[in-house]
Amino acid sequence: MVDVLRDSKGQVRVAEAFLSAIIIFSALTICSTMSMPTENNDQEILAVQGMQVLIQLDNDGTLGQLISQNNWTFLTESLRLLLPVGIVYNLTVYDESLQQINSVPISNGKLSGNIVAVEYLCVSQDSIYNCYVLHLQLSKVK
Amino acid sequence: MPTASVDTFFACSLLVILAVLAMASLPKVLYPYIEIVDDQSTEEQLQQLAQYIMFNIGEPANWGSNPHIFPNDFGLAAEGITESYFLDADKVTRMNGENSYAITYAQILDALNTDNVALQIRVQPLFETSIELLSADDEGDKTNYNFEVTTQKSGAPVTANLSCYLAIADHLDSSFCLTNSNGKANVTFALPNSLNGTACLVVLAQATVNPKIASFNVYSFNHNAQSVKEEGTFLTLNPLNHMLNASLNYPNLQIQKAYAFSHGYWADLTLFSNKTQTIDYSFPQFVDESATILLLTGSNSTQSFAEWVAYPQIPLSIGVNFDASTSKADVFSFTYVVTVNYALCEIHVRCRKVG
Repeated sequence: MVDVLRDSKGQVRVAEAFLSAIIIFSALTICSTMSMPTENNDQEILAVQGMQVLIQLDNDGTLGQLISQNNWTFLTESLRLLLPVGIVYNLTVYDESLQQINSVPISNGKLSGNIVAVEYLCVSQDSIYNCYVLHLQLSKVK
Repeated sequence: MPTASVDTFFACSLLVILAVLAMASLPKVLYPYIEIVDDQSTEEQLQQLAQYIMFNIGEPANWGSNPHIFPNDFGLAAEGITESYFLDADKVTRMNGENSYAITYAQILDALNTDNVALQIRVQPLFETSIELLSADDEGDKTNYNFEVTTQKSGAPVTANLSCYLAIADHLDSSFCLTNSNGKANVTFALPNSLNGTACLVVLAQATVNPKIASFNVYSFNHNAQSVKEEGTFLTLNPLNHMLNASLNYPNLQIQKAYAFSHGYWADLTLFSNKTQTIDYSFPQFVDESATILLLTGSNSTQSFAEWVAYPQIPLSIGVNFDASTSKADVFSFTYVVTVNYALCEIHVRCRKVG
């Protein structure tokens, strides 16, 4: 019995086992604390909705017309009516040289949480050719 | 037994226990990731299905306008239109179960060639128009009716241009106004007391910011009569392909007037054919961005009646009622703004994989 206690043979194997245990537990701990995958598809749907609303507004030239007239009030209201309830938006309009042209915020609230952005190129259908870059940010109300 | 063997035995046992523990806990750790990947895949498939319904014209392409044809391939897009998200008014109308030419939910699933998806399609205007009768003042030979019209989207006011038409028997009156910043407007009409029966107030609203954003409502009330009969009591109205089929639900009903109202125009319907219990009318395609309200007035032996239907026949809902479902966790909802009859509407496609 005394020999067994004093015998140091096989201690390396026990050390190996403990080392393995530490590695496996560390791996499990790291796995469980890893962040969950983000809900990319929800954001994609939001982006599709934003893009679809801009396309609908642009179908008959209304979008370009409102921008040419600097009619930000009507543009804000149109987006409010076209986007589903519970979606916050913020639209920024740039000219061809990427200078912001909307003098007032085109928005219905403060964006929060996962924000998705949509870029849309709008060409006015007036006699004067104008090109605008629209940057639409959207988020869901939590 | 040598000490080394005892140590080796303990070490091996420890490793085996660890391996078993790791195998047992690995699925628990990975399960949420696998589930989310699976959900994303399902959501993508269902989103593609919803978009297919929006962009596909269906087979045959004229399945909407011909009441005797049922689609082999389901899609709501209008034929020959380059605009995206432009739906056919007749295809939309045929999804309304109140129309005699409606297709069934089972036919939609068959035409989509899918048996593992539960589906609900809802089409509605982008904002609501409500009508309330505030007062009715009898002034001898006439009665003054005062209505409050409210236009709002989910409680938030919408400023809109209103076209109001009041019809009873062969009497027609109209009024045009604008809702204020609270989305409210007062509309007043006077009706002669020589008339009696059901009267209809038709209100067509267009948002001031964009006339394509439109809505409507119809308010039926009794004028010098006991009670208003439910819609569809006297006539069953089935609009399709700019034709209105009116089935008379009782014998000896007399039709007095047949109107088509849009936001900017109105017209008398043209009689197309008159059979024993069925009358067909044709109605024009108005050029403004608005639904068309088809209204027929008539009388039985005692009093006059008024029945109406909208073309396209919205709001409508077809398919599974997910609101009544206990579990909504795996129901995916896709909302689109679409053009129907040159006016914008909201279409919700909700679906869930089954089986």
